[in-house]
Formats: sequence, structure tokens, C-alpha cells
Amino acid sequence: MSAGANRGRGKDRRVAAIGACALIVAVLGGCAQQPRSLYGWGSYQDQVYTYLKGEDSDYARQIEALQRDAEKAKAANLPLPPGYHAQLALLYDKLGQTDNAHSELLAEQAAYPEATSFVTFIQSHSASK
Amino acid sequence: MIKHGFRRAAAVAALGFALVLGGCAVQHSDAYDYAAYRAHQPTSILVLPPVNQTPDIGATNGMWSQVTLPLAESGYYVFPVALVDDVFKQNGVTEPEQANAIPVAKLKEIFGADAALYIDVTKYGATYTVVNSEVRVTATAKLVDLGTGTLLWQGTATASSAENQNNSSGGLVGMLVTALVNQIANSVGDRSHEMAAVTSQRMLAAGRPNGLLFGPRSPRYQSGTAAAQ
Repeated sequence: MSAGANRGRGKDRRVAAIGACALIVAVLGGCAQQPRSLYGWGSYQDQVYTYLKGEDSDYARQIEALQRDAEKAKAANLPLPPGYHAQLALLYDKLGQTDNAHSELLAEQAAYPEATSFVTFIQSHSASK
Repeated sequence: MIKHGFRRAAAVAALGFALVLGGCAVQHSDAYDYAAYRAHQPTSILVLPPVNQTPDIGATNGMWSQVTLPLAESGYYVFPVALVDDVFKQNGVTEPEQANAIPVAKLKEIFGADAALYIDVTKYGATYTVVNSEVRVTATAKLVDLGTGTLLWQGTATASSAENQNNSSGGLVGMLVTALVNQIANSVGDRSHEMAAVTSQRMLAAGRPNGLLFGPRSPRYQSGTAAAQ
């Protein structure tokens, strides 16, 4: 009688343990369902910070970093985020490479039609310089 | 005996489902009135230079450079921060307070944005107590429709380096050692800027309780919010 009762308790514990493990996996799995990133960010925000601080005038290096990260994003099949092309345009403009700046602005507008009005504004104001 | 164990496992599994659905699901508090927000759902957001209400002169740039990510990932077009900065500066608007004071109609005319986000940074940097130092970034934000000037949403968030620390172990000596380590860590590198990324995420990532709604570019746009109305 007692042996049979012991075997029952052992089974209880195993089933409860399996239940507890399933609970942990379910909770972690549920919490881990993070939506995947929409964009390939690379160092974009860092580059923006660098530019805002105005302490680094090596625009060519900043362009290089952004272009490198753009390649990585492309390889990962991720689109570039809002403002990425525009940041490149800004840096090219600083280097006097107006053709490159222009095509980057157009790329920003093509990817994000919301930027059309602003791109027009920038181009009309830089043309007058 | 087997039945008893099965019942317990089933109870545990049911608890698990409740935790998954309740704890990790998007929550929209019925108390927050999103009526104006939905009536003027923006596609694009112009983030103005954050007003710095802290002693750290790096707060504006530190915060401003961290807001694009959560907003864009939430499904909004975010105007290029560095270009916005240049446009303001080239037009004599050199301080965030000045930018924040520009009439909405003018902002709409120049940028063509649907909405503007006004941010105030109220804490940015390290503070020191007797036994510890912490890096904290706190900010508040208001989303305003540029067509009508209507306030669509406001929110706030904070993040601190003290959050994951357990100072109760090791007694006073342990606390002093932790404080020294933190003081060194907090003064090397730009921890406030890093912390601003956490604050920005907490404040601006859509889907949080009373948080921003998902924007049109998000796969989660208008998902899960119908029930809250």
C-alpha cells in the first residue's frame, strides 16, 4: 500500500516538474516574441550624434562608415531607416560633392515620400548659395 | 494519483498562459483617451531639438540623437535630425527653446510634417549620494498635430544605471566598492548618452501602456487597439 502511494507521489512530482518547465518556456517564449527590426540601423544614430556635437570634421570618414553599414543592411535585406540617405546627403554637401548629395536626397525622397516637401525646401535653399 | 498530478500540471500550464497573455501582451489602458490621436494619425514626425533642463550641456544632442530609432521602428517617418538642426541654425534658430516656440503653421510650411514631437530633458547625467552614484536620464514628450495644433499625446520616461544593482549584499564595504566601480564606469565614456537610448525607447516605442500608437509604416499599425475603444 505504502509502496504504491510512493510511486504515485513520484509521478505527481514529475508531471508537476514538467508543467513547471513548460510554464517557464511558455513565459520566456511569449516574452521573447520581439518584433524584428524594420530597418538596418548600423551606426546611423551614432553618426547623427557625432555630427550634432560638431567636434569631428572628418566627413569623409563618417560617409565611409555610413556606406559600409548600408552595405551590411543591404546584405541583411533590411531597408535603410528614415534620414539615412539624408545624412549622407548632408555629409556629401559638406565635402562639396553636390551631385552625390543630390542623389542621396532623391534616394531619401524615393524611399520616404513624406520627405518630399522638406527635400524640395533643402534643394531650393542650397541652390541659392 | 495520476489524475492529481495532471490537474496540477494543467493548473500550472493555465497560469503560464495567463502570464504570457497578460504579462507580455500589448496593453492599452482604457483611461487614456486616444480620440484626438486617432483623428489626426500622423505618418511623419518632426522631432524638435529637446529642451535641456539639466546642468549637462550634452543633454539636447544626447537625447535628440536617440529618438529616431524608437519612432521609426514604431512605424513613423522621422525627419533627419542633423538636417533639421542645420536648417534651424542656418535660419538663426540656435536654441531649442527658440525652435520650440516656432508656430506650428510655420513648421508645417517648412518641413511638411504631420506632427511635431516636443521633448524636455529633465534629468541627464550622474548624481552622487554618500554610498553610490547613478546615471539617470529622464524626459517628457508631447506630440502635436501641425495642421491644427492639437495635442495628440504626451508621455514621460526615465532610465537609470541603478536599476539592476543589488546593493544589499556585502554590507557597507560592498556598497562602497560598488559606488567606486560605478563612479569610474560612469565617468568613462558617455553613459548618459547610452542611458538616453533606454529612456527614449521607454518613452517613444509604440505599444506600451499609454504609449504612442503604431504608425502607418509598422506591420502592427492599428492592431490590438480596436478593443480599447
